[in-house]
Amino acid sequence: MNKWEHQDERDLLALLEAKTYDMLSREERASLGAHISRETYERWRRLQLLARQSLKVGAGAQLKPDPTILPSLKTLMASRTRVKGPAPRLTLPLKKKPFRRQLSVYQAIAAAAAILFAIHISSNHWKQDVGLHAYPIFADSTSSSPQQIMLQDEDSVKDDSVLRLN
Amino acid sequence: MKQPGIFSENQLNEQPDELLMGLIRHGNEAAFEILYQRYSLKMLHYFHKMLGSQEAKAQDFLQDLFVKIIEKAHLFNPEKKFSTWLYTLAGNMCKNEYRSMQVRRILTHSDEWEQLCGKDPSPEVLMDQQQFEDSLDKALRALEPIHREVFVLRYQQELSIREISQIVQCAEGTVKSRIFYALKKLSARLCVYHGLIKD
Repeated sequence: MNKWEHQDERDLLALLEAKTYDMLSREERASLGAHISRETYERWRRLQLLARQSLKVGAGAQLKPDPTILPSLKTLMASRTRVKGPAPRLTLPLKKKPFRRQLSVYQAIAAAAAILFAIHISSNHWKQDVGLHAYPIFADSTSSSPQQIMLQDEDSVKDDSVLRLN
Repeated sequence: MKQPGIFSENQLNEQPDELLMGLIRHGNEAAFEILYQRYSLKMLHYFHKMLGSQEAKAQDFLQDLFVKIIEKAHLFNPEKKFSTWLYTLAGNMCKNEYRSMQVRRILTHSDEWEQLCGKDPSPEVLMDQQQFEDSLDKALRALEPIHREVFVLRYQQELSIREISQIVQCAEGTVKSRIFYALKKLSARLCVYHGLIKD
């Protein structure tokens, strides 16, 4: 394929499909003249018209879809629909419930009981279990009065043991 | 998109292909039947020309094509044109067939051209439209698949250059170039019909 054909055949196709040689403008003819004769142009034009006529859908009336195709396709479609079940719901997935709503009353009671038990464990009684009251440092009665003991959180362990000793 | 089952049959008939595909995805048989009626004849002719005028094979391919539509409906992008997608599927089926059957090799070794371009065709042969159609079939079969495809899409299916470029996935200029090349080749191969073509 030479350079001219590569560049201009695209435009030539449009001309061939639209115009006879006689309908071409002077410029169009001039652009073609040096490369394509009138005879060649008309032959190509006639060929594409004949091809179009010959190939046109319906030209060969004897060619029709096999009548068994559609029923078999519908059967296939029905079977696929049955296997897959109903169409999926086009809704967003449910949001997760808030944590509070997921707890039942019994779970809430159990949780509260567990918390109270933990507080109980961390309070005074554990010291007796491990015997801390036996050590003198915890028995220093001058460190604070009973009223102060009630207000002090951080020193409650030590002072509480003093109270008990007194 | 509207949900299936809300259209009457008459309303369905008026719906665009793309919407029908959405319904087919949800298993709507009526929508499928309408789409089949719209395209089955066209696609049968397309396969007939693309596969060397073998009617049985064209019928098989037609069925396979619509099976693909059922099975691959979820792959169709409703924002794109349905016919473009359909012809792309059909074109790919033909290409696979060419590969598997090596049709090109068989056809290019055919000696039918010598008979076709004989020196002294009878006037009856020249003027016989059916004969011309048969010869055109043979000439098309001898073309490269890429040239045959665009030629059939343009002159049989009457698609625009733009649509063809989307189907074959190349530039519009390339499509024009291929069609023109096919036309030139056919003109050379249908040399016995120059008298007829000359009018």
